[in-house]
Amino acid sequence: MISEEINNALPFNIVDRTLIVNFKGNVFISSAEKFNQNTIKTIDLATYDKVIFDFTDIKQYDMFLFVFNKELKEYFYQNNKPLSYRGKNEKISDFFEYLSKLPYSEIKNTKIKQNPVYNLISNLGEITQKLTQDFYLFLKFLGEILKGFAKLFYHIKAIRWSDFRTQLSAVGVSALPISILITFLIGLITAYQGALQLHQFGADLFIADLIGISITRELGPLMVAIIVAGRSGSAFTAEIGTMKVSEEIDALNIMGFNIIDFIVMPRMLAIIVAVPFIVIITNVVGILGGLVASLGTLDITVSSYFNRLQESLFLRDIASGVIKSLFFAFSIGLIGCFRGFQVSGGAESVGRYTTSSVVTSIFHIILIDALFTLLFPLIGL
Amino acid sequence: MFGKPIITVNNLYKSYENVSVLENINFKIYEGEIVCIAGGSGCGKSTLLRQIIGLEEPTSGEIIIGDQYLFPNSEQMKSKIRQKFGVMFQLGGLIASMTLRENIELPLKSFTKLSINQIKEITKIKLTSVGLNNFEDYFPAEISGGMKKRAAIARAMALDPEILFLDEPSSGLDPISSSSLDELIRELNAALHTTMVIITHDLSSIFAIADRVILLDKSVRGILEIGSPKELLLSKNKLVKNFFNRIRNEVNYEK
Repeated sequence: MISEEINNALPFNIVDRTLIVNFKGNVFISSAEKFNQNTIKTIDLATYDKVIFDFTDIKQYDMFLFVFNKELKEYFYQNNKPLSYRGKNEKISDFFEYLSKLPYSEIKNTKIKQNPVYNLISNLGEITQKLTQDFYLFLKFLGEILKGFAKLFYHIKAIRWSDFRTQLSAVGVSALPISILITFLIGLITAYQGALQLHQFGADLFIADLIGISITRELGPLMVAIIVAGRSGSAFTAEIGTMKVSEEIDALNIMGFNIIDFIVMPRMLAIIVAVPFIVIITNVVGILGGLVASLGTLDITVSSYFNRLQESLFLRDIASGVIKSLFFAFSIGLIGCFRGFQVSGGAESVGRYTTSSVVTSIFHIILIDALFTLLFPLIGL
Repeated sequence: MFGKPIITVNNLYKSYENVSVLENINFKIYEGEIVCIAGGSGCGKSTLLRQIIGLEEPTSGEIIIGDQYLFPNSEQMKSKIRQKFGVMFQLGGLIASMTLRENIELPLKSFTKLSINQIKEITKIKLTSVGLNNFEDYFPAEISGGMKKRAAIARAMALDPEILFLDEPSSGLDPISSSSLDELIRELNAALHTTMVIITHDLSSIFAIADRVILLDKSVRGILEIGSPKELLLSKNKLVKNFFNRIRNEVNYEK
C-alpha cells in the first residue's frame, strides 16, 4: 500500500540522461512518511547526468517541502549532479527564499558543555552548596516559626485565626475516617499475629498487654503521623508552592503581611492541635481492633480483655505516644511549609517539592521515633 | 485577495445554564487572512475561540472548517480536524521541564513520521523564524515573557497548521515587545500564508496586523460589526465608536 502511495507521491523517470522527479499532491509534514520512503537514492548514478525537480503537480505544501527539497538537493550536489526546477511558481520561490534567508544554520548552543570531570566536580560543589544553603534556610525558617509561637504569648492577634479553623478541619476532622480505619486494621493485624504466638504458651490474656502498649506507645502515633504527612504535609507544600508560583506570596509580602503569621502559623497550630487528638481517638480504635481479632482467635472474653488492659496499660504509655505525636506534628508542619517556600518556577517544581516534603517528613518521623525510644526510658516514660 | 473560506460560523448560540453569552454569530474567515476577534473584557472572545477550536460545543449553530463540520462530529473526526489548528494559549502553555527545542520537537516526534534530521532542521527553522535562534537549550523559566510568547508561537506552528489561533498574544508585554510580536505575526503570515485568528483587545495590535476585525460586544451578546480596522474606525455605530474612542483620545493627546 505504502509503496503504491510513494510511487504516486514521488514518481520519477529518466529521459535523455536527465532524472525528472515529480512532486505530486500535498507535500505536508503529515505526509512525510510516503516521501521519506522514496527510492531515488538507490538509482544508479551512472544512468543520469542532471536532475530536474518538477513542482508543477504540487497542490499544497508546508515547511516539509523546503526541508525535503534541501535534503535531496544536498545529495545531488555531493554527487555532482546539477539540479534545476520546473514549475516552481513565484509563491514557492518566495517561500524558499524566506526560509533560506533565516540564519538558522548558524545556530550554536550558547550553553557551553564542559568535560565530564569538570561537570562532576562542579556538580559536587553545587550539591554541597545547595545542601548548606538549604540547612541555613531551614534553621532560619525554624527560627521564624519559633518566633511565631512566641507571639502566642505576647501578640496573639497577629496570627490569622480564621484560617486556623479551616486548617483544623482539613488536617484534623477530615483525616479522622482514614486514620480510624487504618489503626483499626493495624490493631486487628497485630492482635491476630500476636495471638498465634501467645496461644502456644497459654498466655492468651496477655494479648491485651501486647495490643495496649504497642498501639498507644508506637503504632497509633506512627500510623497517624504517616497519614497526616501524606495528606496534610503534602497539601501544605502544594498550597504554599502554588501561592508562590502565582506570586500570591509576593503580593501578601508587599501588602505588609507577615507570611509566617498569615500562612504558616495557622497551619502549624492546626496540625499540632489536631494530631494528638487523632492519636487519642485512634488509640481507642486500635485497641478495639485488637479486641475483635482476640475474640475470634483466642479463648478470652471482652471483660477479661479490658480488665487485663486496665492492669497493664499506664498513663505513661498513653502520654509517651501523645508527646511523641506532638513532635511528629511539628516536624510534618515545619517540613511541609518549608518545602512549599522552596518552590520556584512552575508546576513541575510544585510536584517535586511536594514529593520531597512527604519523603522528608516520613524520614523525620522515624528519626524522631527512634530518638524518643532511646530517650523515654531515661526520663522514666 | 484571499482564498476560499476556511472557517465558517453559522447561527452560533452559546449559553451556560440558561445565561446566554453569544447569540446569532455568523462570519467567514478566508484562507491567508489575519482576523482579529476583538471586544471588551467579558464579551465572549475566548468563549468564541473555544467553540471554533472544538474545546466546547455550541448550544446551537454550526462551525465548518474547510468543508468539514466540527459539530456534531465524532471525537476522532474532531481531533483529525484539529490537526489543522495551531493554538497559542494566553499563558503560552510551554512545558516547563523541557527546553525550547524539546518543546517544539515534541509534536513533531509524536505526530509525524519525519526523520530525526528533518525534525532537527524544522525545529531550528521554527525557532529562528520567531527570532529565538541560540536559545534552543534554554528552559521556559530562563527566558523573558516576550520570548516565551515567541516560543509558544513557534510550538503552535510546529506542525505547519493551516490556521493559527493566538489568544491575547500581546497580553503582559511591553509596547516594544508587543509591536515586535505584531511584526512577527505579519511576517509569518506573509511568508507562510497561514490563516491567523487572533483574540485581542489591544487596539494598536489590531491596527498593526488585522486584515479584518470581528468586534464583539457584551451588550448585544454577539457581533457588533465586522470589517477592516479602517472601516470600523469610520463606523457610525455608537458602541463601535466607544471602543475606538480610546485610540482617538490617545492621538489627540499626542497632538
